[in-house]
Amino acid sequence: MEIPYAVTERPDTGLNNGKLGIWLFLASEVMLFGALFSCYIFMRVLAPSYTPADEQKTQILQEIIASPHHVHERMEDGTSQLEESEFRQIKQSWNFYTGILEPTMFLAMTNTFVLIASSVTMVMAWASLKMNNYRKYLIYVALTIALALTFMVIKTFEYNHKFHEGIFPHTSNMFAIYFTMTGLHGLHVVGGVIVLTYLLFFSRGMWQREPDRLAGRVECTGLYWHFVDLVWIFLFPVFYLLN
Amino acid sequence: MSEAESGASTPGEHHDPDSHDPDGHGRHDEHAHHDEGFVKKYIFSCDHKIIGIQYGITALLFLAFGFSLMLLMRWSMAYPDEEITILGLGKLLWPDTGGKMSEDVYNQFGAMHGTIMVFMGVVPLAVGAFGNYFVPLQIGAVDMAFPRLNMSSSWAFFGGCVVMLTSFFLEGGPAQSGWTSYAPLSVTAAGSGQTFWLVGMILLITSSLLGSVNFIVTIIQLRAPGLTFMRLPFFVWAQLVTAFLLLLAFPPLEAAGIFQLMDRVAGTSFFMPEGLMLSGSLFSFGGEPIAGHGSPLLWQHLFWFLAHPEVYVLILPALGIVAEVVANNTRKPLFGYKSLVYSLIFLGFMSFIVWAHHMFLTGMGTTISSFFQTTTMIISIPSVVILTALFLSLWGGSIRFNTPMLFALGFLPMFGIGGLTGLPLGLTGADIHLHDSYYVIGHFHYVVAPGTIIALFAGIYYWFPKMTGRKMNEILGKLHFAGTFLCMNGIFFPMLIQGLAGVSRRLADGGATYAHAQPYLYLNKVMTHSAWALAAFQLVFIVNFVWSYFAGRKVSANHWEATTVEWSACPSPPIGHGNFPDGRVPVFHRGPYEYSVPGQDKDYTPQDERLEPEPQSVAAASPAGETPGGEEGSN
Repeated sequence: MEIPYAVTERPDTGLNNGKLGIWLFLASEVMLFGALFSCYIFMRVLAPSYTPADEQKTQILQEIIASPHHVHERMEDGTSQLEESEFRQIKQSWNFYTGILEPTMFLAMTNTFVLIASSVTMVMAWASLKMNNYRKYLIYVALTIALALTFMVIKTFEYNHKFHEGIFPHTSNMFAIYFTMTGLHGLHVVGGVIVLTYLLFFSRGMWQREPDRLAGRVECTGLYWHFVDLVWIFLFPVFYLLN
Repeated sequence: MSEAESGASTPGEHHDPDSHDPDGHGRHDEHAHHDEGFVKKYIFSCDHKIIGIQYGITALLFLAFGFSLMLLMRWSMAYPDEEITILGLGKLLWPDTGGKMSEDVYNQFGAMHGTIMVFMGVVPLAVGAFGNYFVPLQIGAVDMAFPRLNMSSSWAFFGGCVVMLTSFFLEGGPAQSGWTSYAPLSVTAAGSGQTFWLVGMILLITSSLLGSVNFIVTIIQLRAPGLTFMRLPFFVWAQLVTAFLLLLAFPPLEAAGIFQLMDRVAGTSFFMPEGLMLSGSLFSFGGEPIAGHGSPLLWQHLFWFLAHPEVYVLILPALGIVAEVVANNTRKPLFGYKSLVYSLIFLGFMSFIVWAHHMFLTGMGTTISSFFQTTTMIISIPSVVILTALFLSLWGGSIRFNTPMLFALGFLPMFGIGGLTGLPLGLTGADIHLHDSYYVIGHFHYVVAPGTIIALFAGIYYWFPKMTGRKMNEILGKLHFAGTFLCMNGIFFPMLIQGLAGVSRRLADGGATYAHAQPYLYLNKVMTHSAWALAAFQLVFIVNFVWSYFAGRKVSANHWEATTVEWSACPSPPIGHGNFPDGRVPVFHRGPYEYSVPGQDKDYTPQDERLEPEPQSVAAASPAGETPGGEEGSN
């Protein structure tokens, strides 16, 4: 029992099933990440701002901003002369901890190029397959996976740096949404890696029997992968540049 | 290369036995009998019919369970602070409190009743069961576009159900913050019940998302030759729009669920306001106060952005079923097919921009509430068009009052009441008085219970012969209908009265402590007794269903003499893995409701029937394998 138009295109729509399916799925993903970005806007608008009451407090604040490392220790050691409420306000004001993001900004920028490169290798994989070069396809898929894993490794460094500084999701709303959105994006990268691993190790049979069907699957995976890349293209400026 | 697909634009052709089996069974002739083990055939089936039945049985069981929760709740409302004596259930369930339901348990049952009925009862039955089973059949497809994705959806659904059920056995019990799970109550709720609810919801949402992709691709891509969009049965149109609603509306709730999970488990403050005090101290996480400055309103917006389209997901398949049954049992085409379709599409679009009518009393400004009031009023127009068209379809019909038709007819005024009672809720002024009162509960239950559930019963009685080859008993069916119709009105109409009087919702004692509720408290007893009577009548249905499955009278493949191809082109039940005999997919020649066509000898002309001479306007290329002449009617 064969499902029609799984590989060949239906004449009146010009699509095969997988391609339509993946575009619909991406539409729902747009709604997901769109909702998340909208929440970012809400949280940022709702965040309080801290205005130092006097000259001395302004100076303390500037010292803390200038040297954001071990912020928690500095603010909690009792010598900062900040009141409890002011302390909480500083923690909650949106831009305060962006100093923490700065050391890892170049890591994040590297990640951006890593993902863009992985999108390129993904297309090369599909193109190689369409040009009947299975060996090159395997190489490019392996490269895509390697770049994706590089992304995850760099991300792990970033997260660890923050945890080391005492920054967790519960620290402030800014970090709550930062960790949630980048984490969810990371999960999507992992999902893509799983599919790519399947396409790397288990595609030989289908390549021999139904190469067009395999090419269709690779194309759909590529569409998904480009979407994941696109989400990062939005995440990076919003979290690392717009602050 | 794939021989099966190159050059062949017609689905269902006799294909090359060497082509790869998409189910991964290895290379053997698909026309030979598959030696599938029990596990592959029934537990991990990729066949849309088996999956549909799995969804259906699960959904019916959960409908019964959610109903049972409410039966106990209603006892607490009618006889507050007393032991629950009916069937000795009180002493059985709560021996420690002397058989009384505590208020916490009432809240738990309330939250889970809503969740279970909506997400594990009605939608799985309407979409997962009826949709999965009949959409491919009605469009002449051999299965859904992605059979294995279909199986994954059903397993994600099953996982969500397991998580939700498990939450009843947790130490702190299941979720108890309403099916709406408003923050900060839901975030601060003790125990793991709410966390399990969130995880369960994420699994259920995943199931819906994967399923909706499947439905849309199937309906667009797998229509058999000759089946243009405007020849689709209305049921299929309803499922198409429903699938779009599920696809696009669920993700914001998924985002919200993740946020709430983070709030509960990771101590974030997405929805937590500043300075929240719980039991006398600042709400804290891991010893230190939470960050705060989050927004409880944000949860409401994200939740209702889904939940409003969700209510259209609840009603649209029901409208589809009613349309099928009405056309069939009036022996005439539906009135205003094009208006029906355009209204459906317009309704689907509008459903995304009305959500804040659930939030009129959150302090929003008059401009924005006017916007939502306006869109809410506008969305009533397509609903009224659809209902009017269904009523008008009865005019001049040769009506057969069989059991499915009784349920379909019963649906029409009930949905009318449900829809009309929604109007004052959509007007901001009236909503000030009616918000969070029993009027709201009466309104939405009228649409879902005497509405959708009655339509689903119509669907069960109508399609049972197709799924089993046997018919259900008419006398028991009519008894079931009469009792259900009467009792449902007995339960839900008094709610409208109580609500207008100002009785609030979600009160374990049914309003007993409020002075303004006193003259209307007797209605609690009326409703409770109606509810238990309703339960008794459902026993009639269960007996009928089970007995008919094994020993019901066997009937022909097109028992109702219907025009849609699930009746005319395949046996009852349809062929496993392929639906149509000899793999011959039907070719569509006409619209879906050609009943009583002048000049024909039968009062119904199936969509796939060839008539001499062949009409000129066949849309798609004619298949090579079609035999000339002769009818392709029912077996």
